[in-house]
Amino acid sequence: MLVLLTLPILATGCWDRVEIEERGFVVGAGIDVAEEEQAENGKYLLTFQFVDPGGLQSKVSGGKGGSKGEAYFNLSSAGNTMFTAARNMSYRTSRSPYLQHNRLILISEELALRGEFVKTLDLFLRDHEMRRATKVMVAEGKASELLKVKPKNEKIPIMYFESTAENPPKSSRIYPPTNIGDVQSFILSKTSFALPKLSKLEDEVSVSGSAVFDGASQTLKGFLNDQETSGLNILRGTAMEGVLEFKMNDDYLAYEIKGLKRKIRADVSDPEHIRFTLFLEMEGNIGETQDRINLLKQYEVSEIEQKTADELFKLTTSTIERVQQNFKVDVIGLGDYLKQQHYSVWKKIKDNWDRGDNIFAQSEIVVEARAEVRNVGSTVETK
Amino acid sequence: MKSFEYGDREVGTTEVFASVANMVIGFGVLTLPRTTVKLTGSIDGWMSIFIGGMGAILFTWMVSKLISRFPKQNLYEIAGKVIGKPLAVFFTLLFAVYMLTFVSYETRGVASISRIYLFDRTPIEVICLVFLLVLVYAVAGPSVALFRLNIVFLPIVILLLVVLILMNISFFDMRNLKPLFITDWRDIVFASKESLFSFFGFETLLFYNTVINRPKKIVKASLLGMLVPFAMYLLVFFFTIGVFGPEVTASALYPTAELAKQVEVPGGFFERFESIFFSVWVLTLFSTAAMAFDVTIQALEAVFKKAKRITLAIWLSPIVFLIVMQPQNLIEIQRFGEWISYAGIGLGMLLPTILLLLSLLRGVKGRA
Repeated sequence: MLVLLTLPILATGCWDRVEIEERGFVVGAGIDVAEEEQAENGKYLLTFQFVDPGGLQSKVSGGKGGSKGEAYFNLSSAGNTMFTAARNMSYRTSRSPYLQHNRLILISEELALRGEFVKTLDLFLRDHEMRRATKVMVAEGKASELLKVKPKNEKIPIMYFESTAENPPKSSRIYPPTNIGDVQSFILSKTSFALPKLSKLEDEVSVSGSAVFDGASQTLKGFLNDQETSGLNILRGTAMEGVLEFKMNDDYLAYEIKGLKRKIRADVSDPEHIRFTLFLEMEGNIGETQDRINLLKQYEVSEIEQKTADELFKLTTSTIERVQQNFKVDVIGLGDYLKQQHYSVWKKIKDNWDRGDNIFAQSEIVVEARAEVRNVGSTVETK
Repeated sequence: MKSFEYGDREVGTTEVFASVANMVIGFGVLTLPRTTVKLTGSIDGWMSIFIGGMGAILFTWMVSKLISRFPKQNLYEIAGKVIGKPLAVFFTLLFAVYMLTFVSYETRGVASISRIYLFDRTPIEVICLVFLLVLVYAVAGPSVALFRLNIVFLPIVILLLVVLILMNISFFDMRNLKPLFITDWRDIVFASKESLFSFFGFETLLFYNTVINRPKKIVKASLLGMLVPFAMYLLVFFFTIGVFGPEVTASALYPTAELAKQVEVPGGFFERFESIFFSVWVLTLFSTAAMAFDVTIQALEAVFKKAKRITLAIWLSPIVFLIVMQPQNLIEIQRFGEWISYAGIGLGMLLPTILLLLSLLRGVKGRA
């Protein structure tokens, strides 16, 4: 009798069971401002990129059979909240969206300019399926358009974006990936920040450049181009590797950045007018030289070092000028430095740092650059 | 002498050490970084945890000093000798009620965490019911068995914590730790109250005293046991702040759980580290709740000598279930936890201290 009574309990099985075939694995999301007919359903347009596991396989076997072999498909849905938009999708796909594997969130330029993107990120932080390591990027133009790009050597656009964005070690022009947890931290502490920018070029994408956000209003202030992003990376001390190209005599020389040390010193005697000195110490190799230089001569190397330092100085000061004078937001992290090292001063000025009176825009930032050549490669002279 | 150690119904110092540690580690560590940093706003919160922990260790010393004075006796018998029988009955019953609410709180904790992170469609009632049935099964056996279980559980918990921290080292950002020493001392003291609450559990020793075989070594073993959660809380606090920064920690509901979610191991196998984390966490919550339930029953047994263990367990479980279902939302659960903690101050800290002082003054001793 007792056995008979307990049997039905065992027969009920698992309450939260979802078969793996019924799950639609979302790898990326794009958020746009809804337009025209979609705008009737809601303000925002959410696009999810799903993985089609079948597509992943058929490509490997050379596309035999009739299947087109796309490894992904996109679905868009409008809604005033991300939650309803995501739920609306379940009407239209046999597999309900499952976001545990979401890698990337693309925010459209327009949404960022309106300063509303933070509102749309709430779901991605609140829902238990989400991970804090999801990366956030800004799309130049529309996010849904970018998700349609057909990658050349990857099967899924999102995977293509993601692995390209992970190339900062190769290029200082890519802003390091920023995840949604970091974004939340910036917003909560009202720190201005930059995000990597993704732009469409014909049928490929480029992740060089960055988008600058004002921490207080969370609006997009503007984009930094490749050079300026490189400068920002150097100023923030995040540039691990990269290339500096400049003219030496009449020919070009490529300096390969191999290491960078950044030190900040601040003179806070006048809190209204703070003087920062940024010491940048760079070391690297000579990647390529088209000029006739004897690289075993000390004075030649010293000249290259001097030129590199000048180039570094030019690059960073132009970035500082753009960030400080045009955007008037501190994405260099000087505010963080003050908070960490000069807390008593910071407490007084933090509400007027890069908003209000904008002390940041009035402070003086001096760069002192030094470069060293560690390695000249295996050839002394080519021509 | 050492012919067959585990055959008897007694436990040694290792078990005391592991049990104190395991009993204290419960629901608190998941929320502790948030509650602390909410008040202190910076890494300085470690001082609050330090003060709270020191306070808890002081009272643990009181409790263990008291029970080592009265070997093999529980709260009811000790109180009976020191302050007389009527008061002893009163306090023992009060202690039983306190422990019963403690069980309910932990059960609710298990349910609400699993609801958020593990099963979002299973009704909370069902999770609680299943957990409660396991608890009843656990306390149906002798309490020594339950006490010994901690030796198995504690290494798993510590190992998990080590793994959690190792996997987060790469996310650790030293810049989040600065600035130091900026918090007002009043905030630090106030926040230490919160951390003190996370150290409750050691008061169960008042009843487990009956099974401990080396009274002289209790003090040392239980203090060592307290050091485990003490170190653990400090480490977890440093890491949540180091990884997330004070602002995000203050706004995450369960910062420690977020730490587990953050983990990403290349290869995809460990991408869901949090599921392992929660499985182990349910383990510690289980041992905490089971011991609290066991203590409730022991307390009632002490007062009502005729009652049978299993009968008590079965009759109490519907009561627990009803208490568990009372808080309707998170705010109420938190308030519920706060009340229990205040009761804990009274029954777990003040009562043993008064008993110890009185027994010292009157010269009452365990062996007549």
